[in-house]
Amino acid sequence: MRIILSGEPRELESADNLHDLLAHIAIDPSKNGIAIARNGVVIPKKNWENEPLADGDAIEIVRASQGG
Amino acid sequence: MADVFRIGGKEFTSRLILGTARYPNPLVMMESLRASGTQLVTVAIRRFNLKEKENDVLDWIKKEFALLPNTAGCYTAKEAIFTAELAREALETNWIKLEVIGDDETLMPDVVELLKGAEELVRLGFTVLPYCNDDPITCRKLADLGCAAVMPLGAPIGSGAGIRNPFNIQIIRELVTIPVIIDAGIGTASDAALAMELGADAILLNTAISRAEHPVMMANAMRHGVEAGRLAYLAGRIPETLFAERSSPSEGVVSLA
Repeated sequence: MRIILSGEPRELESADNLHDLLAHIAIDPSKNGIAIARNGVVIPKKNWENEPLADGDAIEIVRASQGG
Repeated sequence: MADVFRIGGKEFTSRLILGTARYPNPLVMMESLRASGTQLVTVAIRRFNLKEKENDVLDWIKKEFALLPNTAGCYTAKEAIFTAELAREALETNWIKLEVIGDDETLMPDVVELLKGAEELVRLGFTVLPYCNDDPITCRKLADLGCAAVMPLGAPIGSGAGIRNPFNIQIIRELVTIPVIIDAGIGTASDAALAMELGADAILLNTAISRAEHPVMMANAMRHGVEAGRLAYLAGRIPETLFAERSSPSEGVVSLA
């Protein structure tokens, strides 16, 4: 499966949903302070396990950083 | 009577809101934030770093200060709304500093996109604090749309040029009943004091402290500048006159003759 992860193409062997994806890229899904969007739509944390991941999806994973 | 700053259903005793960017290092940032007395600080929303370990700076900030996420880097209402929705999910806050800029050189707001973004974000239940031009009509429109405050610039972001149009700030103060926060342009403590004397409810600044030679000392100066300006505003200054008005009594002046 090929997705666009934070603007860069990424090959994944298997990831059925956003929760799987996080495990795949070594982000603890229970970590606070991050948000995920799939194809421009923000997916609430409680839906990460049910939100399917499909070939060609654009995924953004964000967090707060120092800013003005 | 305590002089409380009320905004979006919350109360603050400090009238200084600080950005968290461009400090020499995180320790100086934390010391500066503390020295300023601020209770609310801005943060940006950025991609999670998938290549290196993220630092813990945000965890430190969150322990001591309320967070106001911004939409810095957005050029359209659509981008800003998307960023605000990500911020709400990541930080569990409805508060958003709405920033929609027109170009990279001036970093000035794109008013058309700003108004569009503000309207939609208010509709989506956000507490919207828009960074805007020092234009009374734009500010009135933002207030009418239901924003929690208006945040006119004093001068361009990071310029340190102070309050370029004090008359407009006074007009804005008269036109809207929601808080007026001067966001951007403050260079030193007297700029902050002037803005408060003009009737601003609070100041939002970043670079003036973070890039000062001694940020912690400047943070302390800003705290005093804001407090002094606020007190002077409440105290009611004397009217300006062209000619002198003597302060010592003219009766009983000694004479040689």
